[in-house]
Amino acid sequence: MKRVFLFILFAAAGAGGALAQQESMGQHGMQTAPAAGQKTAKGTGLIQQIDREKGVVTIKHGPLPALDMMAMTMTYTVKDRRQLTNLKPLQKVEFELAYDGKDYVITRVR
Amino acid sequence: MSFTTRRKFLAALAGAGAAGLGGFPWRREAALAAVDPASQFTNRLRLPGADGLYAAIAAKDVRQLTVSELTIDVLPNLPSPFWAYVAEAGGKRLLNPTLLARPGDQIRLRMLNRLKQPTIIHWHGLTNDDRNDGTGMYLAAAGQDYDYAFKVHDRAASYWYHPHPYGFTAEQAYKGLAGLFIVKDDDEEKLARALDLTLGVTDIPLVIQDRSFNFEGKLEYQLTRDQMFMGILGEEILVNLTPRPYFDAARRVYRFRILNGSNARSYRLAFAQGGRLLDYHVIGTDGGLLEQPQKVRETFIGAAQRLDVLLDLRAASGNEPVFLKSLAFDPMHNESVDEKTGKPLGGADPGSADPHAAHAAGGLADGSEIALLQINIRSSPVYKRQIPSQLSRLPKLVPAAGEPRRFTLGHDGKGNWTINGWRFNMHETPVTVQRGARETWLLRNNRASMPHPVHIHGFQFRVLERRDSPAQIKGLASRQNGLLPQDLGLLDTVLVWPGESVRIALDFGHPFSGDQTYMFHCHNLEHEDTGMMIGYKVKA
Repeated sequence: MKRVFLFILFAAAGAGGALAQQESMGQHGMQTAPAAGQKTAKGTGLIQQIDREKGVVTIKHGPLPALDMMAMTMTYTVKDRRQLTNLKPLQKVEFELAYDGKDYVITRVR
Repeated sequence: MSFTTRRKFLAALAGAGAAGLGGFPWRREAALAAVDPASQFTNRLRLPGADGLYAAIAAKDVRQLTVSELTIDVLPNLPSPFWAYVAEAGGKRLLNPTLLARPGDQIRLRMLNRLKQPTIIHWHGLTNDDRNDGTGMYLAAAGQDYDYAFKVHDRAASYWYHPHPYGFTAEQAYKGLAGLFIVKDDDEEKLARALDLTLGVTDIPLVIQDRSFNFEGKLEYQLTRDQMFMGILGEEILVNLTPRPYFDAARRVYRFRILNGSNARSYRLAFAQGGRLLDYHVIGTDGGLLEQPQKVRETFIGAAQRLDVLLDLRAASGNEPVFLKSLAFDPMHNESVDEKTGKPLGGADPGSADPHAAHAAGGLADGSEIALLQINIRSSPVYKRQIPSQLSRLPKLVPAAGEPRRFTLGHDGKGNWTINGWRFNMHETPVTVQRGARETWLLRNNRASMPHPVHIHGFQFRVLERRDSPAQIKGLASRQNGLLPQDLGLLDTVLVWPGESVRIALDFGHPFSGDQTYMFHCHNLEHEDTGMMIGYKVKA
């Protein structure tokens, strides 16, 4: 019984992750100007991968309650790709993430 | 909840991702393919030095090992909780020291357990009585000590030491407790002279471990039910506790003593320069040197196994970096196939990637291609040494007459891995052998299973035959009887694939009087901790 319960718990977490991740898909190459009513969140994360050419960074980050996001690993577009210049994989960073109802964009990372 | 149902659920989740409805947004192997790998390997490989991690010291000079909870920077500049064996010598502090010995050395040391849980050290691969082996039958409780006193009986090889308290082993090993125990003898020194090899310079230990870190860079061990069943798969591959490491080398021969110190993950090791795989030589295994070097381009290594290899960088072209890689392979998470037919139950696509494995890895799926170490060729000194054709002599292999003792590896359909249907019970030894007897053991892994690295305490063994090996293993067999190059050496751990049967020869002769009890188990540490282990008695 305990195992079944644990599995249900795991499955729920997995499904939750999938749903949360679904919301943040589709941002690649779709950078848009912040819209009125835009939501933002500050987060802490560990850089997994940097693609300076595409201007994207993959971050394993903690929960972002202001955006209703759980902890996850996600690739985000950076608003100003110059901010990627001095970043390294496996570096701990503070960042700000903005959501305009359509796309998630990192507006600040250091 | 059956496994079939669980697999379907996960498959549905992964399928949703593929359809753009959600799923897993980041897969490391796909991401690495898109980004120049050279820009990712920015950390100098940690090597045994005078102090700190892996510092080398004569084992007979170590009087005390303190099992400690520390904080170290595993990731660059990010302090993380880390558990280590700590030795003090000459005013220096050594963490997980590389212990050096020669056959005949007497080891006397006290282990101080400063963890908040019981522990014991297992001297993996060394011949010991059960009091000194670290089977887990004797433990040091939190805050208590344990005294070891033993003689090194074994030939030169890269042995290792790690925790072995039943139920705690996986967590303790994962959090950092592991070190090498290198025995050297005349054959070793002859090879070192022939190739001009120096430990830590051109004779390089490589401890490969996969670990996960939280978003603050702290090592974390949190098992899901799934990981408890499959074994934990870390998101980051560390070599000598270095993430994304590089090593500056010269154009000459290097010896790499490779230990797979991962809890569960296997690797298909190759050296690649650009799209080209370089030849290398397997020269040794768990129990030391082979008789002759075996030229290969790839080799599997399961958890706890050691491979001793020579790489001749004179065969590399130009100065393009060479990568030690794990090539892609089928991880064979076949626990829910039909045992009789080997086909998936419930109509799942037999060729599909295993969503189960992918999920457990958090983005670094089991069996995916992974670059482990970047080797930069920085200089071209005059070096004209050649790899010797003869390395050592192995004890004569005399297989036992008669029927083998049979062991079947499988699961009970309720989430428990078993050996002959047994699960571990500290108070039972379902197998008894006679001291001095020779036996053949037949290790058969069910089709409805996953790869199991089977470790036998107390005695090294030889592989006699592999049968019904999967194609990716059969393709690497270099001899009759389906033997792989590494099967030609002395082993203490053998990787048995789903559907495969491996016959091994054991000689239960040892110098210890009185009955001795040892362990026989899967070295996927989550499997071991959840009961895929049995005790066996050697009757005097």
